[in-house]
Amino acid sequence: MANRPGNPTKHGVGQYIVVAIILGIITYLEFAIVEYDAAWLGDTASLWWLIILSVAKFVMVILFFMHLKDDEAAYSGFFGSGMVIGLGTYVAFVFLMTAPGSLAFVRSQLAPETVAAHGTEAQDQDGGHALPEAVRTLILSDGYSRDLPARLGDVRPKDQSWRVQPPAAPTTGWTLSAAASPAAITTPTESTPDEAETSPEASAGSGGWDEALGEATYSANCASCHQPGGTGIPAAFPPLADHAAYLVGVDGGRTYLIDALLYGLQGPISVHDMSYNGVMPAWAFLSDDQIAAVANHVLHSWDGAAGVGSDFAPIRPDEVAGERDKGLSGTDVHDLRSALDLP
Amino acid sequence: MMSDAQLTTAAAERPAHGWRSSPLPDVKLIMWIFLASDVMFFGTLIGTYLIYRGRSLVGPYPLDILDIPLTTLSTFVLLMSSFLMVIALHALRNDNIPMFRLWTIGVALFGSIFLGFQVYEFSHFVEVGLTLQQNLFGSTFFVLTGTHGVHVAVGVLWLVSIVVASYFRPMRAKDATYLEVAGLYWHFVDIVWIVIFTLVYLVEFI
Repeated sequence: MANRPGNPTKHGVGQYIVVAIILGIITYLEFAIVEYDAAWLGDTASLWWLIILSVAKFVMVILFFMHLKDDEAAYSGFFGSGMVIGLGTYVAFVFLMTAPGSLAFVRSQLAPETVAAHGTEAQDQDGGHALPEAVRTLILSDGYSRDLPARLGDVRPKDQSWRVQPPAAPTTGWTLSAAASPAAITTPTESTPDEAETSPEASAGSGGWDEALGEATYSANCASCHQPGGTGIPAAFPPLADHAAYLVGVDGGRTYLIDALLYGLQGPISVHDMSYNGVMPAWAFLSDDQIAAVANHVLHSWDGAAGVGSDFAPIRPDEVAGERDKGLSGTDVHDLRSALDLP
Repeated sequence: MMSDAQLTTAAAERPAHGWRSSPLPDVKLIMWIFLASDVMFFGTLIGTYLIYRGRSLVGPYPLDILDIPLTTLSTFVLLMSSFLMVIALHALRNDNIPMFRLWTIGVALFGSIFLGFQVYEFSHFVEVGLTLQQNLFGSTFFVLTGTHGVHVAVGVLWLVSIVVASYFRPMRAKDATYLEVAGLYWHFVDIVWIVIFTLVYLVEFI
């Protein structure tokens, strides 16, 4: 085989060194474009330069390091057809997501008022697409129910609320927040509402909790699923209005509410004779203050006289801190909920 | 269809110098076919990442936690490991066994450094709240880069085993194809990372 065209011994080490240096320079250029924010290039030009530079690296490694430049054409053929099929799969995938009939397309055809009404009844759209109720609910509950401009204009892409925010007690990070406040660990979080109401430290502050923080946290993190009015989305995300206040009143409900916020919830549940099976993500990256505030926001909004009432002791950040070390999963929380005395 | 007996006969009737359907070395051909399938595999994972890009409903988001300087460094390390790989192959082809062993171990070492960066990156991400289940970004990111990391780890083990084996069963220039095939795999893992580095990391910060 020594005389095959694919025998790369004819390449000197010098060629490899030159290629390696060029690869290093290109990598630095890519880094520089991004890190030094090449404003003079503009976003579009920057993007194209990044693509061109990485394709250049890709091609150089294939041609010189993998020797395709001088090796059998059959190898290039195999590899090339793999790339064509791979790219074709991607194009087909994108087409599936955007073509007429796809979920994304049908959703974009839904009238805004239909979206707002959460598909309570099937409507015949102008194109004649009469969507079955089940399909409409599925579409509206898959996390895309807000259109793109709404999502882009949202505070969430710039939302930094997941970052560690120093709670009242000095901590080194949310994972340690409970350990830094030993008193919080021993706080009887299993207390019934009656006991909590008589708890002296619960009445700190005017309303007992940060209303602005609660509202901001809710609209930034919760409203997309549970909706601004706390109505939830049928079959996917349960309502909070007319439900959360009742839930917190049962034995263990207070702890359950905090656990559901910290660790999420996975598994089918039933509220007001309707079953819900959306996944609640874990929100442990929010601060104790944020979780306590948003829980109180939920408990005091929408329900009026049917809510928790003015004598309810708001959920305190140290109660949240006391739940942090449990390390539950969404399924564990579901078990906790099943253990509650609910109808 | 030939029966087993016929096949045996056919094998016995081969010319003494061997009978081949293709003039290409078997292991190299198989490696290229494998790479062609692997490129489709990674194409699917990268495509999935791109399609779900920017659709996470909760944080952490890519902009918040991706670290460009760190990843540039690990990318550079991986590129240089590819350079060492061709140098090692060059040494073996020239029957320079000590240099072949040295550079091949160098490749494995650089690959291990890259893996170290990835372990650090993953554990940091999990620490700030990005897990496989946290959001679409977490799911697609960890599956894509995790699969790539497994490829790198397999490559490291492969290269180390070649060097170890060379002490028991001496390698000569005529055996270079075996190292070349491992090198092809290694370079492939490198070019996949070139794509990931651009599409997952850099583009996010434009």
